[in-house]
Amino acid sequence: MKYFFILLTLLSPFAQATDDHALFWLERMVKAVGETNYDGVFVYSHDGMMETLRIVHTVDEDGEKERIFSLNGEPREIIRDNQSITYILPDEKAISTSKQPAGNKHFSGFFTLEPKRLQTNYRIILSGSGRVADRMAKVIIFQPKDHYRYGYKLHLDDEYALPLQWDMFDEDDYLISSIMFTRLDVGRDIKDSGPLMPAKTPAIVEKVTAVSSPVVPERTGNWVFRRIPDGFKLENFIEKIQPESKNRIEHYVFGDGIASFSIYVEKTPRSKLAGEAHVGALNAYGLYHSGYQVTSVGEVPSKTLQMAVSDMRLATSVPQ
Amino acid sequence: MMTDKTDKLSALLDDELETGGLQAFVKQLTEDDEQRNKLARYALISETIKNKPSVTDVSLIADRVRAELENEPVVFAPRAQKKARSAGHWLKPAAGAAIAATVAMFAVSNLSRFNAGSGFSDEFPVTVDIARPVHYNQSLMRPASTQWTSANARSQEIEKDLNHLLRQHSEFSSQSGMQGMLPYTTIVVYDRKH
Repeated sequence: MKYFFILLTLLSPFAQATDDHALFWLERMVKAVGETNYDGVFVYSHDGMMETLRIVHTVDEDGEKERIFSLNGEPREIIRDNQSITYILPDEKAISTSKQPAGNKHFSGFFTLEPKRLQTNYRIILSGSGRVADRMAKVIIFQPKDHYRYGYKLHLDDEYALPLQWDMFDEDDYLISSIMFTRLDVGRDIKDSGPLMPAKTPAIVEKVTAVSSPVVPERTGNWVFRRIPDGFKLENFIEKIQPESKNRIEHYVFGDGIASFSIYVEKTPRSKLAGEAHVGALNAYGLYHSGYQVTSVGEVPSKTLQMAVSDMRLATSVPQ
Repeated sequence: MMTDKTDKLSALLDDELETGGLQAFVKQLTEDDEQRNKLARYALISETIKNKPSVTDVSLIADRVRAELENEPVVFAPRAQKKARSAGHWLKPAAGAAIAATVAMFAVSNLSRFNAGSGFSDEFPVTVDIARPVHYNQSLMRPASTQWTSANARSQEIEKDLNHLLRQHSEFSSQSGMQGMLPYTTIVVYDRKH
């Protein structure tokens, strides 16, 4: 990773621009993604494969709404608004709906971040200009300060500060995944015209209600994780019953301002995932610990997931 | 008794080598690049004669070879070999796995030669550039990269469980961080079956 950023620094005429300038653009972006109507087509590249998707984001008197729709293969759609998230997945002939996690005042399809917080874990550099989807863009580099997170490169539209391209690199400067717009329309005339996928009646309709609450300091779950990598903090804790197994499962969400990972702890008589698993930019790691299946998932290196679950203890005086 | 290496290659592909001869021959193959390349070539010829695969679809070649080995355990790591019931038992699937990988690598690198009608060449590269070498060699038993890659996540139940966890992760990870869209994009992309 250091070699990529050194090279980029040497090549970019604006490489030494201050972090404040980059932070200014990021703050513009946060505002833009939540308040702008846009309709775009983007390509998601990973593992040498490419998928094409469409996103429509609108804000009106009814609130904020967003749809992400696959343009490859079987149509699949995710719809989000201020109250719920609906998955329309015809492969499984199911529609599932979840309540929006509590505290989600602004779900913003793309990016929600705290620019100031990012500086703890990343060096943020405004690094010149670029062109994406025939639009001029500012380039912002997120250089990780350790090996427990990936590096990123972001292209922001010059006019609207909307993200046009988002690349993720591993510690060896290998491009893990990329999201790049090929077309982006912006403006008030963008309307939410309803589901993007063809109307069809699923054979099975499933409604899943997720009960969740924002993290309350005195209630952080039954487990204590003693080796969470620096820079990641507990951002959410949810406890629920698995619909199929009826096992109680605890879900911990950790984030560093850009990246995040989840740890699931489920009391179960037998092991499930043991070791590493990968799919595209995502990693997972599982182990069986004292009658509990522990699985961590996230857009972070495998070593981060392994470290996070390597030393976990039951909190004292918590009923099991 | 077979003394000709070519005959031994053919016998290996036809599953006619006896256990004792198999062990010794596979050991030879690991040390002989030329013989290994010939094995790959003969495997492709055999495949072509038997099934007439479309040589324009490289993935089918290796998939078909791999499918033949589906019923045999694949040795992913050397230490796993110690757990085999007998030396002959693991050597055979190990050779089979090597065949599948080598055939695929050969096919990808030499496809244009076949299509151009240039015939076979004795000059096969020892190192072959393929589009996704890491994933191809590490996931010999998996057909598509949109599925979870893991020696332990190959069961449908575990994959289903992981996808379910991924969805839940996406719902909450989007609240903070730049990955707001990525988890949902991942769901839309990875949940689809091929």
